[in-house]
Amino acid sequence: MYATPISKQRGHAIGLMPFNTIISAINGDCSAMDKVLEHYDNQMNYLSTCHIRSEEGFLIPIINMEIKDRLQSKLVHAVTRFSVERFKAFAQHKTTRNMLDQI
Amino acid sequence: MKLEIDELELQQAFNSFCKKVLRNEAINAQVASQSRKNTIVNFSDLNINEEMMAGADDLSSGFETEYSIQGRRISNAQLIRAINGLNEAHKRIIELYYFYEINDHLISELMQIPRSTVQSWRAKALKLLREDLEDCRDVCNTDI
Repeated sequence: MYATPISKQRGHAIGLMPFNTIISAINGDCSAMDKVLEHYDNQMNYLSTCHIRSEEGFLIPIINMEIKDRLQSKLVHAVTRFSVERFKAFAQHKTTRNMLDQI
Repeated sequence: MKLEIDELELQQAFNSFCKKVLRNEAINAQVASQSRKNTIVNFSDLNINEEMMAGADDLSSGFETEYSIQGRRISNAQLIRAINGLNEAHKRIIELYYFYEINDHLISELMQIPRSTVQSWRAKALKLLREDLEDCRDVCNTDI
């Protein structure tokens, strides 16, 4: 049976946002921000789900809109706060560390 | 050395960043709703007696109220007269501290005086009030 270990699956971009959308969302573009919100909609639904017990005793999952709104506004805040410079610095740090390891 | 951004790495970093933010905020929301649940009581959870108490009139708002403290009876009018008898600064400190419930630190910022002065003036104002009200009580008793 042929199988590749998960750690070596490079170039695996399933479930990730397109690069250009990320950059324009960080710079504050509205339509890109909408796309980001849409992309993480399922995640937000999952996190804001709470279960209420029905009269028959079953648990019914419902989405708590209060929490979901909170998550959405926090995500918008966070996306504008994400800095590419810090990511660059981190990447540089990682490459230098790899080089040192090789030496 | 100029480092090119690895697009895939940035995408992955952004993805994990967003997920982390959402997860932490969900935890915060959960904690907030739990603490709100602990402090707020619904009307449907109250029994009849407590509900009656919640809807009762605020008796202290009446002008002719009397307080009984340590066996003394002090009316609202007496208290107002005693407070008006103080000088401006003392009156303002008493007003801010007991009626607006502002702490000493904020009062000192509002009135632009040191905090320790606020404390000592408040103590002095209270002492004056007490003396005034005790005198009042003697007068009242002699009247009766």
